Amino acid sequence: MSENQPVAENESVASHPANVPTDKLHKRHPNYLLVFLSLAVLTAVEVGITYVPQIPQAPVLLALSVFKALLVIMYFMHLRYDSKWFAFIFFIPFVLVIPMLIVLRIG
Amino acid sequence: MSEAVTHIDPTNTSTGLDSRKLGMWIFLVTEVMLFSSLIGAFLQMKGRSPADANQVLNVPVTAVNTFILIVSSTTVVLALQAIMNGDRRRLKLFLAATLALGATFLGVQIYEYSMLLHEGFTPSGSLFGGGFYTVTGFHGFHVFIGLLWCAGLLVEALKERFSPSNYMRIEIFGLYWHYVDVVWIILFTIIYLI
Repeated sequence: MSENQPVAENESVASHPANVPTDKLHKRHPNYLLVFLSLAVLTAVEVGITYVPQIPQAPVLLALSVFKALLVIMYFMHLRYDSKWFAFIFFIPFVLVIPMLIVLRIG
Repeated sequence: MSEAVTHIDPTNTSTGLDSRKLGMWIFLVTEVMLFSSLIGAFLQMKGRSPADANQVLNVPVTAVNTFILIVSSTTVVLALQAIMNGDRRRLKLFLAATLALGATFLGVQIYEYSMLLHEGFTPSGSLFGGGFYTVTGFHGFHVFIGLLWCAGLLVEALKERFSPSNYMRIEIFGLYWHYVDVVWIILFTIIYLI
């Protein structure tokens, strides 16, 4: 079917040959609402931490934000379920980025 | 003169990877490099600014805005799930919600800019100000592009152009939108909280 052709409302889902599961994403969706709740709670925790000066702010807040980013990347962007090639491609620049940011922060 | 039209199947590749999705991931790699450079420059500017330079920023309002962007990421992924399950009504609903939430995020950011400028916190006023407006401005521009993209997809969804066998453009838009969300999660911590 052409990409730009309207699809009839009563068209059978099962009739699509491409509807055969081809990756893990088709087999099961992650619990998106649980991921969302985790992100929302972690954001609230982050803001709460700024009101507690006894907690070492920078390392804890950075760790939380990296964890939140990984939740989005792994579950919303489906990198956990998709081809490992996509994960490999996406994480290549971090080999350069992380040392660069550390050097700039120290500098 | 007649022209032969060749249809190239993006899923029939030697790697087995959908070439459209592969293209988006490679694009996101370039975006990682772009925002890493911006964040690196911002860290340098922040390091040369007073420790309390970010006290002028409104953390509670931006925390709510962060929450709004997280909700919009959730609605995008629910839109994708809906069309994969053949539910076109929920696809339209979630795309419209994403559009509204993204526009709200941008509106709050513009409001924040106007308040900060009114208080004298300008891009040229300090190193921290220059870094703040550059990084958040670039991010806001990405949100704006995403909103245009989402609006286009919503129009197509209203014309029933997506189906359980034709959802890749929704998924690719989702990758872009989630990446924009990821960048904001990092920026919110680095700029506003630390």
